[in-house]
Amino acid sequence: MIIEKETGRSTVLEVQNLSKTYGGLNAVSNVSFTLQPGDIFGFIGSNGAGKTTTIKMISTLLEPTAGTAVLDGFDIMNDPMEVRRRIGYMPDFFGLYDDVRVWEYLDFFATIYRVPASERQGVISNVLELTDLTFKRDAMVASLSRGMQQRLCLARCLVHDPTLLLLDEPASGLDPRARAELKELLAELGRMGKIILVSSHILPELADFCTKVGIIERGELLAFGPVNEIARGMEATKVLEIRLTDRAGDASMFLHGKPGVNHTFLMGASTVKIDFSGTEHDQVELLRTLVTSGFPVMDFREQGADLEDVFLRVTKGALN
Amino acid sequence: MTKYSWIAEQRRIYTENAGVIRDFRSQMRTFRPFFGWIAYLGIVFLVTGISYYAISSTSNLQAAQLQDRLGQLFIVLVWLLGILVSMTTPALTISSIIAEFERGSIDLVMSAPVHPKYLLVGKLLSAYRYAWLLLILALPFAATGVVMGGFTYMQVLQIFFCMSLQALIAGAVGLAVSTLTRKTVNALMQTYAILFLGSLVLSAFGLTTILSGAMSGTREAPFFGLLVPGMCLFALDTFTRIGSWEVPNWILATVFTLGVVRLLLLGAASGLQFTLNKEIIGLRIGGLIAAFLVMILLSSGGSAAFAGLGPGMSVVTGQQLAASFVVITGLGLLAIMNYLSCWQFVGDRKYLSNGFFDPRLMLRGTPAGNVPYMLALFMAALGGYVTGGILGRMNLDGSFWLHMTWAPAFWLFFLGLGWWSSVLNKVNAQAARRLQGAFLVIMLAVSSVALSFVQANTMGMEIISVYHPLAGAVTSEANVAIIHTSLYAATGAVLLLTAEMKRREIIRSSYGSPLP
Repeated sequence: MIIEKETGRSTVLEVQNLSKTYGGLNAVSNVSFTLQPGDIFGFIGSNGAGKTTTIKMISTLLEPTAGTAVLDGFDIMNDPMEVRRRIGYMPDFFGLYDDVRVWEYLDFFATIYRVPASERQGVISNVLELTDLTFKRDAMVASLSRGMQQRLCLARCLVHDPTLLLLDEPASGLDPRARAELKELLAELGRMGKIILVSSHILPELADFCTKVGIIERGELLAFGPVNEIARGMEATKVLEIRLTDRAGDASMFLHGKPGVNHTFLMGASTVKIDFSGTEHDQVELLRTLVTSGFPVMDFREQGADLEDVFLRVTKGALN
Repeated sequence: MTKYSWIAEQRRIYTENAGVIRDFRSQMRTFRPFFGWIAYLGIVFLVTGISYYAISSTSNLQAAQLQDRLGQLFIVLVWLLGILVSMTTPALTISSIIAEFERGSIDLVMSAPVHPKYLLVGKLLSAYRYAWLLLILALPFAATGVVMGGFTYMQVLQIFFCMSLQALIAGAVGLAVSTLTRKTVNALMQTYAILFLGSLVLSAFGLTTILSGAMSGTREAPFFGLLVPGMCLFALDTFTRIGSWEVPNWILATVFTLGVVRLLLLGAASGLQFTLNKEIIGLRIGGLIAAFLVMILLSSGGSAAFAGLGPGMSVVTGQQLAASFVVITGLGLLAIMNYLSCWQFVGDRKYLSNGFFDPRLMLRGTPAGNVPYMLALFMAALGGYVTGGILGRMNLDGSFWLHMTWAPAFWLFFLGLGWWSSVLNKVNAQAARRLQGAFLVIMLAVSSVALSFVQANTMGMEIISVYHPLAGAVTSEANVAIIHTSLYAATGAVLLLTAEMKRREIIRSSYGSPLP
């Protein structure tokens, strides 16, 4: 946990038992997680699972029935204004004023976020550059393409340099190029130390760049953590993939029966896959043995968990 | 908050409001506003042109008659400008707030560190500026009143100022309504209905008092005459007597306007937020203070008009004062009771059923605090009325206290209807409000029509008027007054009690949660 020197407040988002009930319906039940600077958190769930409700509660737009969230030490219930100063909220619709120019739109939000007048033009230039919209500075908002409007919306979230970005379905309706650009942009923001919470039900768009994921279904957070950890938590085994320049068949026979190796599979002429249940030490020893035995190992890696598989397996019980 | 940070905050809201700047940029960007102004000036030119043609085509006019006619031309112009400006301003505020909801930008603004007041003041100032723009555009036409009609530029300025106050109130009503409904057509209809009915009632009372005052040689008149489109011309130099003071009405009208706008903005701000908020507390405290002060003003200055005594008359009996009290409280409660008495089982917490009667929640805005708040509001109004009556040395005898009890009894009955509407409409408070509102409109319409068919000073009129939400307590028979008041109070209590039992039953069976 990082502690700010000046204020002594922790720069984390702690969501504590957040719940929202509508009459007899539990839209969100006891959702808890903690995020730290640089975390890019993928919030995954079906339509109506409770993602937007959770995000709206964190962004102080909806009152929790129970529980709370604390950002930089400020509680969403007790200090909503302080929380709002630290968040950039992007809903699943853009909410753009279409009768103004791009810079005027950003100027409006910079003003309401209390960016000093003397700094506003500089801030607007910076966020436009970051979102690659500098060349559209004087264009009317209505004339922008969907991808550009989406980037403008993200630029708006950044005018006050927030700690936390809450992005609800940011990539929906975007073409592949715009999605790729968005991923790159979010990764860059993550490297800048911002906490990013991005929700989606399109899993491939999150798998590449999220450092953590949370799977929510019917209002309950079923899993939380890095994708690989969640996958590992679900299964006792993992898959190791070994690529060799030669003698893959011999290597497959050689690995059989080694500590932690359950099964080996020969995949073509140069690849061996292993169903592995050993410890990390066993995994190191396996590689060492292969190399010292003279096998021409070109690549040795743990196969990444497939987010779609993880999601389907995690939510199987919840949906049935 | 320190004094300096408070000043900085006010400057940020009123002089550096981003919404005002944004609206100005978008309003002035294209040629569209110019077409609007040309159409507006075209209407003004057409109406004044027709009036001028009618005057100029009349032959054999004396100089004095001609000036009188030209003066009338100015009156027509003032009436027209008042209507146009008062119609345009709420349209601007309504469309701006509902557009925020339609495009979803309201969430973006509300997730920023600004209070709803910032957004609302920005919208209202934009509309108010536009109202002044329209008035200034019409200045060349208004100058005809000075050149030919015998008016002075100071009077023109005073009239424009009064019309801008009317526009400010109309714009604030539009803002308040637009936060309670999400469809432009509905919001427009509700806003114009409120403004039309308000203007109708106030102009009817105000005009009779002003004209009767003029006939009897006094300029004493209710201040609200200045706030009715088209009427301000006749009320420019009037005053209201408070005790021995003669307070110029333009001062009272300005203070009243600012007070009403503040309450409407607090109402809009509380309606705009999804959570229980401090604006509701401000609104409720403000409502109590306003009820007290307005009642002092009205009872000390304008009771004769409300009592329906006609031109030149003064209030003399306790029963007449009670009738006046019933009408004034009725008008006030008519505007807010629909919101105070309906609630819902699901949705936002501030409308969520949380009990029957809890005085501790009186200022919080939840259903359990609504009945206590209604009672507090009624007591504040009564306190103000009695204070004004004492200041005006009026006759607050036993018959006043007997007849005025009709008001709390009737509104208790109406509250019971609201609770039953809420029980029957499990969807949301808005559906309940529509049902209760429909019942009120039926009562108003049927009893108004029935009253028009019976002759004055008959028992029939007295009985029918009991069912009229604004005209109860006119009966001169003490026994009849007691019976009707008791019936309303008893029916209201039964409605509230049965609705509460039904509410508990629904919560127990549907949600299984402990009763709030």
